Amino acid sequence: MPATRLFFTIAEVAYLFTALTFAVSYASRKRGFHFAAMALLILGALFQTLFIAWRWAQAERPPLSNTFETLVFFSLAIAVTCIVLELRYSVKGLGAGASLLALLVVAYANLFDWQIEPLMPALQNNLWLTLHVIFCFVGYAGFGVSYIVALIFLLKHPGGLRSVAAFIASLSAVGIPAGLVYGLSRKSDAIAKLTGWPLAGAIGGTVVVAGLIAVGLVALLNARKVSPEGSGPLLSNLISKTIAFGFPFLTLGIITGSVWANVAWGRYWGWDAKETWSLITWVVYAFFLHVRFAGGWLGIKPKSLPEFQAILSVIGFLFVLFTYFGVNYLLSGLHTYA
Amino acid sequence: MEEKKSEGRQARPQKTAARRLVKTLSSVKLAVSLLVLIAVVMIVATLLKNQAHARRYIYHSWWFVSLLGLFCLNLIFCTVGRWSLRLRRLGTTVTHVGVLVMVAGAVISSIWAQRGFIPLPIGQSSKLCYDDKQRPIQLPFEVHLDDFKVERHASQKEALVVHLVKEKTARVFPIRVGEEFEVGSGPYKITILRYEPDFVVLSKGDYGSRSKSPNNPAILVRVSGGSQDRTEWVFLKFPGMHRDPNADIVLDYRQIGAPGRVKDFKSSLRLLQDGQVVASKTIEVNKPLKYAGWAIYQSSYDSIHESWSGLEIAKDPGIPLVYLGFLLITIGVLYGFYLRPLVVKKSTAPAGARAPKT
Repeated sequence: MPATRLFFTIAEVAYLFTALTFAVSYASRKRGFHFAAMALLILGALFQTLFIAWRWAQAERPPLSNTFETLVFFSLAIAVTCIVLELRYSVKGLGAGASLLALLVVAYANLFDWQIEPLMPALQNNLWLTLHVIFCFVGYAGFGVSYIVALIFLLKHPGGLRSVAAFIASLSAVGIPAGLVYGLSRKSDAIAKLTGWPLAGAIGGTVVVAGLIAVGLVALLNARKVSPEGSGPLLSNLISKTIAFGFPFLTLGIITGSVWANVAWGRYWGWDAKETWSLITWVVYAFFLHVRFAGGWLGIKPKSLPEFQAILSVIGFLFVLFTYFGVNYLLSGLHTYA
Repeated sequence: MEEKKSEGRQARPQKTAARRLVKTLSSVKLAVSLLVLIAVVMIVATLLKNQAHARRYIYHSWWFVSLLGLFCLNLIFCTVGRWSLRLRRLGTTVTHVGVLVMVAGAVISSIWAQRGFIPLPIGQSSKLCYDDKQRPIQLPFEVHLDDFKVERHASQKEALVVHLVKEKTARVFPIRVGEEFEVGSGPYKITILRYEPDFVVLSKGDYGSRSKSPNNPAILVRVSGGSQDRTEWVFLKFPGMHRDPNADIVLDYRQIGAPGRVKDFKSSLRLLQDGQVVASKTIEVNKPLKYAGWAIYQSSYDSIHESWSGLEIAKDPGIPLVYLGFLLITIGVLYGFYLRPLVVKKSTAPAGARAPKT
């Protein structure tokens, strides 16, 4: 196995075991497991950094130019954000959720071409491109972690919120791996034979399985009488903090993208689908940041503002995912390469 | 806090109405509603199949522009009404001013910016470019294309081609040092004994490489079998060197395969005014030529015959303001989200818990 492939695989395996070890640490409440999970997470991030560094040396350019490379960087950014938050705050569920997200993102990279290909002219030797990609994905990582914290927060609220959050959480946990397997089955015949899923069946099955898991999760949380008391304010604060961390990065990401467009084509804004969706995502988070000043008018009591913000954080990340993936597959535009 | 003045409320209804308008215009409620509305409109616009229609009927329509205008008005009232350069609010103020400056730049762009396209054949000049509705725009200079080149990535492979003169055939072998190949069914065998990427004569009979870069690749080939047993240096860049015109076997070290993907395309341009050259540059993607407020970008080319270069020409007086806006927004968000929490402590403390003013 070439060294790069080895680094990549070690990072994937490390993230998988990080998520499992975090889960064990929540169940056993022993410090040792938490420590081991953190060590695995840091190990995964280190190997992913090595992978990026190695690829940089091989390609003789920053490896941030196609979907494969941006997925790897996005996953690393999520892992690092998770490490920082875990070191500063102790939030049950965050480590497992965020490392699972990092794992799934890097696993998705397997669907795309590994080959270091020559770049199209607009992407060569381009500082603006490098900054644009780094800023966008560090911002997205903040929003991704915020999404995890928001789901944890909402799961603690008995009632309708819990049900919806449980469904979204289990849909993420089931749907993303299912999508991954489906994608891999289109790449490799072996997996295709194993699964042989038609698309509609796969989607339907995923929704049903996610629904069943959600029902179980809700029943479990209800039985344990989990409530937002205690950790609620900390979680709510973290949702805002992670968004406050990501927002400037997304802002800078859009600005550097705009400057690059002006350098390359002489127009800083062209209402391209990706461009517009990044602005829509920015507007959603700008709304998040301002809603606390206008909540009362929208019929939101100050008491329920944290729940509203958590819902917004979940919605916001769905917008991020659409900007990143949905636009490429469903809409047309300039960003066809990433 | 709103001051209550019972007297004069009836007597000055106009002022009350104006005050109400100002209050509405400077409210965050209006801001968040407009943000939602603008987001919804943009979502709908991106979903349209025909993006040219989205531009024409949504992004550039009077009602969407008015919506953005109302948002800016709202932002102006918010910023002026809450004007503060105290450390606590500095980030917000600077960011909001930045957004307004950027929009001001965009307004200037949309009114005064000119942009067009010229497909210019090599050796020709143009004083006109054409906008997206194919209307000609007169340029204050003449653009002359001296040369246009497409550079490609090397997807070609180096190979040793062995020509069998008598049989009038040729065989292709990979450049692998130490391996022995049989040449067809004949008695001949060839072996590549050495490879030097940057061939140089070190001393008489002693050869090596000046560097590891493939500046002058050469291979030492041994041809054996039949009546032959000879070794010779074959050069990638000097195919005819040391070649024996009477040999049965001719060795040819060269690139084979289809040309690679486009690496870059470059246009050598000259700008002329009254016959005088006022500017010249070889432009490429991401490297435009700038002159007198105009910028000329390499945007496309004739991909079939590579005979013309597609140039995008733009003059956008809004850009300095847009960039200033970008700068202010950058400073504003970086300060507001990262520096302010360090400078201003306890910004989230409830009102009652704030330290008393001294």
